[in-house]
Amino acid sequence: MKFERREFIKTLLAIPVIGGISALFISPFVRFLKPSSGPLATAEIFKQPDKPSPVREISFGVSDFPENWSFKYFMFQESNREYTSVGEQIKTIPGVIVRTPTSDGSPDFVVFSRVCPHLGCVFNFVPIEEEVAKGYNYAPPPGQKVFACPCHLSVYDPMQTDTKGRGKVVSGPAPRSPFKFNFVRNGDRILVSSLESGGIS
Amino acid sequence: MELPSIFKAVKKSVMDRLKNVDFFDENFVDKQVDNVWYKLGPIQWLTWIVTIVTGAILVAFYVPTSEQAYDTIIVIQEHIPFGGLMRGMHKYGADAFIIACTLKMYRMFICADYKGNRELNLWICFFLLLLGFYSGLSGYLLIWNQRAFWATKVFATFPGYMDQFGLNLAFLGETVVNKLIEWGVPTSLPAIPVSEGGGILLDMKLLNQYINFNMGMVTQQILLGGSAIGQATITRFYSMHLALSTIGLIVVELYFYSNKKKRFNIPWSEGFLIIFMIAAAAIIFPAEMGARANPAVTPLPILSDWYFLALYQMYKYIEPVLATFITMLIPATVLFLPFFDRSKEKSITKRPIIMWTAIMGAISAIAFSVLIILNIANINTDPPYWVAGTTILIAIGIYFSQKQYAGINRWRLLSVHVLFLALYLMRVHTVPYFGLPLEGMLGDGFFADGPWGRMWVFYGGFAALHILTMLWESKFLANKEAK
Repeated sequence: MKFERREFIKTLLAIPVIGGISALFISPFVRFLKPSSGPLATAEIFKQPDKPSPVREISFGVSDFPENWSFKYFMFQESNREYTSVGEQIKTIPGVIVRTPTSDGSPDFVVFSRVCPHLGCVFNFVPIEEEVAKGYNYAPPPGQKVFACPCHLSVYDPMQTDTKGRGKVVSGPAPRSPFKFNFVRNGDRILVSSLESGGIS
Repeated sequence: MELPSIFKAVKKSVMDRLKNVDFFDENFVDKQVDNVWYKLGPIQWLTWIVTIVTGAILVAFYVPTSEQAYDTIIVIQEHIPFGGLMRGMHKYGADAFIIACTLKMYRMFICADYKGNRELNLWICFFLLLLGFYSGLSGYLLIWNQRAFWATKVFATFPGYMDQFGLNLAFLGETVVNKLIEWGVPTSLPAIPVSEGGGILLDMKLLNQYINFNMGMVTQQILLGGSAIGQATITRFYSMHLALSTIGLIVVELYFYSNKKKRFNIPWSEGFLIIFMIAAAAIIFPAEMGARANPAVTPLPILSDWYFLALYQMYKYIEPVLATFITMLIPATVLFLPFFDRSKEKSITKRPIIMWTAIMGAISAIAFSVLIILNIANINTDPPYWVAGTTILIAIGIYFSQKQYAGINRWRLLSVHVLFLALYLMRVHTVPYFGLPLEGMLGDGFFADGPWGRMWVFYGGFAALHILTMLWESKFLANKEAK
């Protein structure tokens, strides 16, 4: 194939022209499909994904968890942006709060969203060790309880940490530890206020 | 203005292929006499039309809102005369369409229908299959039952992993640099993990923030019409479910109208037989309803539609970023493999690479689907076995292709085998869930006992078998030629 200098320059010139024309069409199209994004000119088109916001706080009493590995499931409400006439929808995120053992016996808690960071199924707290060993291919050390997801068999250990905090993946394909709720201990109360963003509800 | 020659070449190759466009085997009617598989094209058209017609009837009753969707399906299924039959025929017609597309694509690979500037026909068949997959997925959500909700959630979650492609590069950098320092290679790079922020690695993480435009998240939110599955999702899936088939139908009708071709090239008696089969399936196995969608409870066991089962099993085994990448690699293989098959040879046994790719694809899909249906998945010990299975299939393919192209030049065969085994072992003996070559090759567990370590016995035996077969064959063939 002949490829001369003049043609090379022509080809080079064509690239920005084609790019510009396609950008001219792509930007309004993306904004039509995702009305909350800004125009391409301000580079806001991909920068600001809609993040859900918490609706109300949930509180627990420390005395509700009398011993180590006491746990409670709860539902946390979040407001999600929706591109309809209503504009938003309230979604309930399943959560779990577990009292974990410490060396001096004082109560310590982990509060996780039960939405699996792998592909979004709802995982469970599985206190029975045989069930984990048989159903999820992971034998936890004696006395150790874990979370396990029924979809793709990921197992999370709340006593180990990874780069995103507690709940290291000890078995299965999940890429990271579960999404965490932000919470504060206020004397005898535990106040769960908001959720780390990520995943789909 | 004249176009530069590179555009001219592209234009010429596209025009050459456009001349040979074929949607439903309307140009291969004469081949039906010898090869009955050439009737798959008309069957594909018929099942598609059956699905469109029954779908148009269902639209009369269906209400696409999150409150009413499930109830209207119950009404269609149980209270409206012939509603269950129509819904069943819609579902089984779509399944039949997907089966017909898959079989036709296999026929195109086996009979080399893509040769002679006909690659575009394979692409058309593939995009029809994708249309089937997408319509199946979006159609499932419309029922608004448990499987629908969770299948959509899985489908919408994995584009999010596109945002991590850059970050994975950073972790690869971390592995390489730390390993260099461990060996004592002088380097100015600090051995600090990415999570604690070190040197070049921190820069890569920063770079990722700049080059990462939240493409994954934006894709999710465009798909779902917001940041969660809800009313906007149903509306979008419903509109696309209708629109894609309608646009496809218009394109196909325009093509047939302007080319004056016949759409349906088998006798209608055979056509009615297929419609009858779909209707019989709909009556004998009524389309299932499942339980109403509940975002708080994941049902157990949870299975996707039958055509995604194999992929679903793969997502159990492999780290999700890699799994997403492999999911994208499968369609790329189908679309671009034909362009590498430049010979004029049409017999499948004389095109070993195509043959073994086809066999491997079929075996993988069937084996993984069976495994997930039987709920067999030991994610710690299984991967070595299926990787070994893949190794055998690829090795046999290479063996035959070498025989094809190199005759009985045994040294060439031997070198290709050794090279292949070395490459594959490097890939296999990696950290199972990430696939970085360094950790597995250099870690302590390389020869250690365990599922991956035990595989060495297998590879040793396999390599010996390879070499013995080859030596025996070269001797045998040499004798035969001497006679």
